Amino acid sequence: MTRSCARGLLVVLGATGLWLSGHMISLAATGHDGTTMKSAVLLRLGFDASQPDLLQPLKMRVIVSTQRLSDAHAFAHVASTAQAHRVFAFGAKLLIIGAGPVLDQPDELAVQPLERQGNKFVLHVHYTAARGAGIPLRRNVPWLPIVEVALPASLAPGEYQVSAHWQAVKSLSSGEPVGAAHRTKTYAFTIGPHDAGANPSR
Amino acid sequence: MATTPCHFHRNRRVQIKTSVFGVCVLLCGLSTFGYAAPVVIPINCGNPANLVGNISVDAAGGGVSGGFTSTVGGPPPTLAAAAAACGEDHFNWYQIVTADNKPPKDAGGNQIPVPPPAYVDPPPGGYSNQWADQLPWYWDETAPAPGTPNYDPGLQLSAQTTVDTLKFADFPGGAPGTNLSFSTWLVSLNADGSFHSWHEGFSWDWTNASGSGVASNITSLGKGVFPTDAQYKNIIGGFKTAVPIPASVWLLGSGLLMLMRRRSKV
Repeated sequence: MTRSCARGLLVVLGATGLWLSGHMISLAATGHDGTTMKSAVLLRLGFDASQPDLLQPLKMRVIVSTQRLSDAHAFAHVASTAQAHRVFAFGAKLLIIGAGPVLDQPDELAVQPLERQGNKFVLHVHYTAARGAGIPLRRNVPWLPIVEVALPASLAPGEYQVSAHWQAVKSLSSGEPVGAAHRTKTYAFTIGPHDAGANPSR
Repeated sequence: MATTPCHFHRNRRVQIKTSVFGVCVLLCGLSTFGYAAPVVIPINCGNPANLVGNISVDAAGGGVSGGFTSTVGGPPPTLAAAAAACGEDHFNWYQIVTADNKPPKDAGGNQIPVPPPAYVDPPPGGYSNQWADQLPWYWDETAPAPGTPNYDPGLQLSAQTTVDTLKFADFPGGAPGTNLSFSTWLVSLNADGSFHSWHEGFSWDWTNASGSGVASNITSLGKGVFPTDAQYKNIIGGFKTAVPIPASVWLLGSGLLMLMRRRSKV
């Protein structure tokens, strides 16, 4: 009786474990909206029917921040409160946070290596544009791509500029451009002097 | 200067004229920017029928968006209360494409024929560039295995539902010259995703005549106008009728049965 009971219990426990693990996997899949791409993080801010005007004012923006976005929706707050020019303490870990053009459901993107020309940084992003290519879209919910890319650590004190170029391409593998790149406005920031004595996370 | 009754009436007339002019300017301005009054469709349930919420949809930005918002429960109102008033578990949408001169390919890479007959949007399994579940409803009720290509969690029912609203959004696309017509209904479902009952819906058009898509002609299909056989029964052959029970649940069930049998033997 004891042995048969234990065997039955084992079967039940095993099955329960399987069921739970399956659910956790599917929860992880549905709750995940960020994709890590080496040093870049992609967040998708989907069109929200209850806020139909949310995406348009946020597109093609670039800012520099010390804080990672908790989720795509946080970008609306960060972008709206971002200062035109900001001073960061020397040693602060900085991120470029950029939103691109509004994309369609099947579109994909790839963040290219950050380009540096002196004190100017250019974030290059390649994306596919199904709409521009005339690909049929039926059930389609647009989304705004938001990328986070780390700036090089320990930037020397001085003035810096960041901009982002979003280039539509035929495919991510070919990188063949389609039309001219969309360019964001330049975002300027300053790294304070070594001896500022300020909190690096300022 | 004292205001005589004559002055008062003249001032009122001027005020009214100014207000009418202002409203006209506002309406003209709104229509220029693509905003029109949303189409509002009341949804009733029960016997006698009571209002449980409203569908409100609008065309802007090259697509249609809006949703069904509950007016019952709470306060504040909840979708769950609306579902309970309708004797079902939850809501979803059912959308068909009734006209499409450049149809896409289905998940298997097969060309969808030009309607008629209408096809369900999305088809079973989705399109060649978009995953969808095997149920005929607009938002996905189930998620695929992790890593499934072309899967977008934003198309899950859970991602399109708030406490009081089931959202709707569709921004079609296609090559210049594409002309589409859709019919979309609110549908009541059981907990396993199987069909429970129909609610009212709307039709709308989308065209890419000039190189940029425009949604138009959103029209209520009318009270009590539900999908015909040609719009539902005859075209859902490839779909599942309910969410399949996972193998793990069968295993759990058989384990429990085995346990009960052993106990009864002892």
